[in-house]
Amino acid sequence: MSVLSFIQQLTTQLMSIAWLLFLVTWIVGWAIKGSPVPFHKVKRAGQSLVEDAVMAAFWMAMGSTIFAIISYIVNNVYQPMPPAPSP
Amino acid sequence: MDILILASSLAMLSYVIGVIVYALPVPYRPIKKLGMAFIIDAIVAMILITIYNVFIYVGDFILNLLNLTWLDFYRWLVSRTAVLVGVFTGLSYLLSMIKVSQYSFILSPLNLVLTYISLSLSALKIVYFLSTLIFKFRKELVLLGVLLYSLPFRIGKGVGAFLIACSIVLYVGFPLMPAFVSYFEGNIISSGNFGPTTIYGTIVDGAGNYLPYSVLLVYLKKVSSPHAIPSAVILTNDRGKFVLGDGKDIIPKNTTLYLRVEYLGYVFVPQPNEFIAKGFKKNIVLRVNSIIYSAGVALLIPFNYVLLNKFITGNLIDVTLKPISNNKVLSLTLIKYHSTPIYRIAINNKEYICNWSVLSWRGIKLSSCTLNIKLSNDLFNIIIFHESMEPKRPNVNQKRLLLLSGISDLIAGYISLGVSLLYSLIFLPGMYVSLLLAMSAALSRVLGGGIRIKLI
Repeated sequence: MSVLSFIQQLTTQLMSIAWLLFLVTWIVGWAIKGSPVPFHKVKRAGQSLVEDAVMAAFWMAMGSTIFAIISYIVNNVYQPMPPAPSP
Repeated sequence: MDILILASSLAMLSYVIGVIVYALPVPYRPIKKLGMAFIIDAIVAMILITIYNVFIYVGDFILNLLNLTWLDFYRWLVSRTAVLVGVFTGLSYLLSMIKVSQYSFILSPLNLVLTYISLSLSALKIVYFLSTLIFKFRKELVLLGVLLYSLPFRIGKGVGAFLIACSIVLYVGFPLMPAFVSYFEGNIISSGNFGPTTIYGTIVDGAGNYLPYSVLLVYLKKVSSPHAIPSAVILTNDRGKFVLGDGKDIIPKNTTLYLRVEYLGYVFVPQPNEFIAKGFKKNIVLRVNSIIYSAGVALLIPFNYVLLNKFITGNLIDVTLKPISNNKVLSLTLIKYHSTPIYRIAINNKEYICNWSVLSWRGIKLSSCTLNIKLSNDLFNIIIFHESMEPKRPNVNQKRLLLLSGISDLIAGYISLGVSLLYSLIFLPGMYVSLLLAMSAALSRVLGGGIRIKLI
């Protein structure tokens, strides 16, 4: 197995872990938020967990899109360089 | 380009790791910030990977803009090395000569200069190494920089950015070094006492042709007797060239030297015969008007005659002489290597035969003859046909000029030379390289790295 395929495999595995983690965080967040504990601070922590989980899911979903956008923009902007001026 | 693919995979990995850290079910703000930082790093790494070609292009672009090339830089470096090696060799020669003379007490200051010069050589070696590294492996450095930049957990971010910045800054910076160094060292060289007296010269005959293996006699006061002992005896090379000074002689500044030329058993007074030694002089011509030389044969012109026309090739002397006074007897002396065959001697188209007598000059067997000719003409045309001979080297025990009063000048000159070399070859390039590294560090911070270099 080459380094490249190892890294790509690792990335795929980590991606599934990340999705799982998002679900866990989301559930934990709602669980904390919905728990019958009359502490505002606890509720707020749960709320922030839910928000972060949603943001993480957003970044996760956008991951390959962001990378694709970067290469798309660069390839469109990047033209063959003109020869450097000589004085 | 495989490295670029690897780097982009690593960037993707860093991105996913960033997301995982961000998604951890831990309600602790710094961890979330760290995850966000990982994500942003991955995006920046991806941008750097895609603009890899721009990094390569920028260096060439700026170099062309400044009209600089690496070839010129290497030429400059090689000329510097040549100067250093020349001084080093000259000084080593001088040291070995002084070691056995009574001036051995000046060895330690000169050794100090030698140390300076070897230090400068080492510094130059570092410049060679660094510049070759940048010139040959610039693209690889950018690739390595990008790869390190994309490693997860910001491990290689600083180093990666620094490598990318270095490859741009040093690639442009090294060819600029000659301009930088020459700007600052200009004053030093012009104001400094740059070494002791050195004179390069040639000894020529009345026709302007060089006298091979002639002997230069140097006196320190006016000489009238031909038996006076010269202060220096210097053998010229096969093209009549000699060097006074240049690490071989110690001559104080403003010393008047009185010169004579010894050739084929005779001592002549050259023009000029007095010379004030001062600084560096080249292409001094000492003309011996009373001799005409042609590959193995010499003709001595009497003092009361002047040379009008001359045509000299490898085996022919064809000259026209005119008497200054009302002199109708021409006393003509011919000297040749004993083995040189003479085919014809004609004076005003009349053939003459010489009675050669053998003599020896510094281990060379010579023949000479004198013709006393009564002539009615005003002009004497002399034609000599002979075999062309290679010049012979006389056995001369060379004696170089070592003057005690010149030693302080010499030491001062060499020390100032050593210090100026130290300044222009260690201090200036060293400062310049550290300046370039500081600029690279600054650029690496623009690229996202955090390396800080403190010069002081």
